[in-house]
Amino acid sequence: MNIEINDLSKVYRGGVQALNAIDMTIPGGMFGLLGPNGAGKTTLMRILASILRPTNGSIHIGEYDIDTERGRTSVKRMLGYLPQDLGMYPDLSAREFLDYVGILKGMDNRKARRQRVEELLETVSLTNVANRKLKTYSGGMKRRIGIAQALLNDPKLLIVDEPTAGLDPEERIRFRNLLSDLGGDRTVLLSTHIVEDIAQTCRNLAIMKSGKVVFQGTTAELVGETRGKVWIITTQGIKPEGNFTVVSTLNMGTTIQYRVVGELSPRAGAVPAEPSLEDSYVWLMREQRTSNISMIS
Amino acid sequence: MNQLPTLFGVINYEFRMQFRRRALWITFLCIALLFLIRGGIHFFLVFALSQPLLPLVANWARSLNFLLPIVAGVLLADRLARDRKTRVDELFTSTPGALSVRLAGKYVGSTLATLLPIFLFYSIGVGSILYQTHNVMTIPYALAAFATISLPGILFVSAFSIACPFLLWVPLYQFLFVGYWFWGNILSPHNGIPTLSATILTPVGGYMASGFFGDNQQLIVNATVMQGVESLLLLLGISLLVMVVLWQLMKWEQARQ
Amino acid sequence: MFLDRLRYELKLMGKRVILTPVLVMLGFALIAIFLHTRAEDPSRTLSASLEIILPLATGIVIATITSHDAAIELQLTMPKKYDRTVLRRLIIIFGWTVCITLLSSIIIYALKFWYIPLSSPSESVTLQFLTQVLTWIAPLLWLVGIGVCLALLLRSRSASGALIGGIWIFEIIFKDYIAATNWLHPVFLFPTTLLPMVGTIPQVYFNLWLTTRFELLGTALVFLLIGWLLLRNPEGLLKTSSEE
Repeated sequence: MNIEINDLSKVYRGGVQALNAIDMTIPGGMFGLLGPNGAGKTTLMRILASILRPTNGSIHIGEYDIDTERGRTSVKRMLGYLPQDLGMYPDLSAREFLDYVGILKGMDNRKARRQRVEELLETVSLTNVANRKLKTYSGGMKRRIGIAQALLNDPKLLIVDEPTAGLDPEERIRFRNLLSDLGGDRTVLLSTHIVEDIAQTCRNLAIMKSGKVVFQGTTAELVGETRGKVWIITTQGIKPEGNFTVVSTLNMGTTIQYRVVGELSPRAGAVPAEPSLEDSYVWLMREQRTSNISMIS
Repeated sequence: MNQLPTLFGVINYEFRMQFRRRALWITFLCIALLFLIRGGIHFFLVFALSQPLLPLVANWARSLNFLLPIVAGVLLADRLARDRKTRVDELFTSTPGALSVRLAGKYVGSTLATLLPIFLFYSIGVGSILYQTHNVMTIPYALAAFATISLPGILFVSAFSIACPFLLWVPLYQFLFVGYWFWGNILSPHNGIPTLSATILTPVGGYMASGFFGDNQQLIVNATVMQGVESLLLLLGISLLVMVVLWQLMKWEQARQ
Repeated sequence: MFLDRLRYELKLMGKRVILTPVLVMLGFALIAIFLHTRAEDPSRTLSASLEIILPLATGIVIATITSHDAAIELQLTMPKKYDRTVLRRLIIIFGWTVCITLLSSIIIYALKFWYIPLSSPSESVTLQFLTQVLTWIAPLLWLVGIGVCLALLLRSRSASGALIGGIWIFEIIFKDYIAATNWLHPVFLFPTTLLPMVGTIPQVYFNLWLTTRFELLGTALVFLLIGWLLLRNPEGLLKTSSEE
């Protein structure tokens, strides 16, 4: 199921422009959304989830136009949504909360709904604590319940915002695999700051900045653009100077290894490195800043 | 460690946070509208030509005390609960600032901010009195009336509003407080139901208004200065006691965890 | 599914919502017993509990429930519309309060402590009962309506509670002024207990009383309509009370 976004803008009251004439096509499968804080990712996701209305533009999710009431209701019926700040009812147990959300999602058959709840509790490994009230849950456990509620109605469109925040490495890997399994015949829109989550699960991605899309394509294309721009510099401890951005610093004991992203070879002895998605993101943001500065000057 | 900078810092920021609440100003604006519906300040100042200045100013302070502290009390009821809701209490407990200092700062800072719109409203009436009577003594009398009639009641109400929600659900406290305000300040003692109205415990300030300023247009008439002092000290003393009890309760709860 | 939904809505609102009207009436029952032991007539106090106190408690509870939903963002993504979810919650709270109040009214009638205006001494029990219901259902619905409106307009539990409390005290302190001012009659909340209007009264006053009850119901419905319209604005609902 494709999502077509045309000339989408969103201006909040007070004149804050969150989205600025966005054109985007989100194909079926896993789709990553990256960007700095304030880029407009959450606003875009809320519009797709039919929580907010755009100021301008159009969105078609599959055959549905979300500009119509009917379209929005139809999208909500096939939607699974996990917001970044997931609010829950503290006095309900996990089992009750999932059952309640199932009712709100229109799962009227009690037996089927409860069966689905049990399946998902098992999937997120919370069966043993399912009768405890949510207010006693840790942050990671709440996140897992959030993931479970998003999957209740077997959604065709899954929108997840920072889904692995608060999860330990094993849980994160398990969740990534779960998402990848789901991505086959549905659209999964994954917004996260953890670049590795996107690198491991998404073939396609978009990068947003200041309400605009600054890149859309495959992860391979983005990484390809950064080839020849990533370097490893080893020093005795002094931070190298030059026209580049330090992506990581690794203390090797007697020396320090700096991984940098820059246009030209920063100095003699710099070893070119195979770019990762994180390098590519840093490179893109750096380029955006440079082109903004030259536009202003 | 010198806790004085911490105290002033807490007062400063609790004041700012309460002052910046839109809800504070909108609520008092709506209450001001209710006063206007009632005939505005003119209604209260219809005595201007018939009463001496001192009891007139006291009457104005006392009249406002029937309605405005209720709003103040309800708006202050969520200050402590907010720390738990936003989870800053955990963060603050890990700082060297003493609990007593933080609590005192919260009490003083948020009460001062809540007093501002009340004082503004009061000043409008005082301005009107000044305009009607052309007597500059209105200002020092008004300040004295505010300090001795309005302030003790507000401090009394604030202490309970900050402390009680530590034990009670906030909406429950709001309901009980509104009910108490009617029972303890407005309900006539001649109704058959025992009440704190017209006693020295009533925070409306009747004894101070009558004892210090000769305002006898109310339930309490011809109170002595001593009774006024008793009432004032009792209200302030209970406010302090409530905050001390709260402090001890919070310490005990922290030690339990 | 209806019962499941009801159970969850009650649970997430909390037991306090159910206990509030019960505890209020129990409290006033004790006060009534106390007055009775002192040979004082508790009728007016019991009338106050139904007409004045219970609507205040319900208004504050409604404002609290409406002003904040812990899972609002999730709720707005559901196919079951959020305005209907809130309406369901309001009906539960209002309906439960009505049940408690009706039960209390029946007990008060059985004990012969009714405090109601009558247009004639020979009015039938049915008409008397309907009159009695009008004394409390009008202010109850009004405070529910304004509770919803204030909660949604201000998005602040404290501010809406403060304004409800302020209006309540205002209505009590200035009852005579409100009674004497025609344009304030549609918001005259507690005439029965406060004026008071009890026993056989001249027809013209009874008609006036009746008119104010229906006007109050009318303004209550206006508030509920405004509240319903505010519920259909997701952007407004999403604004958190972070300033609180």
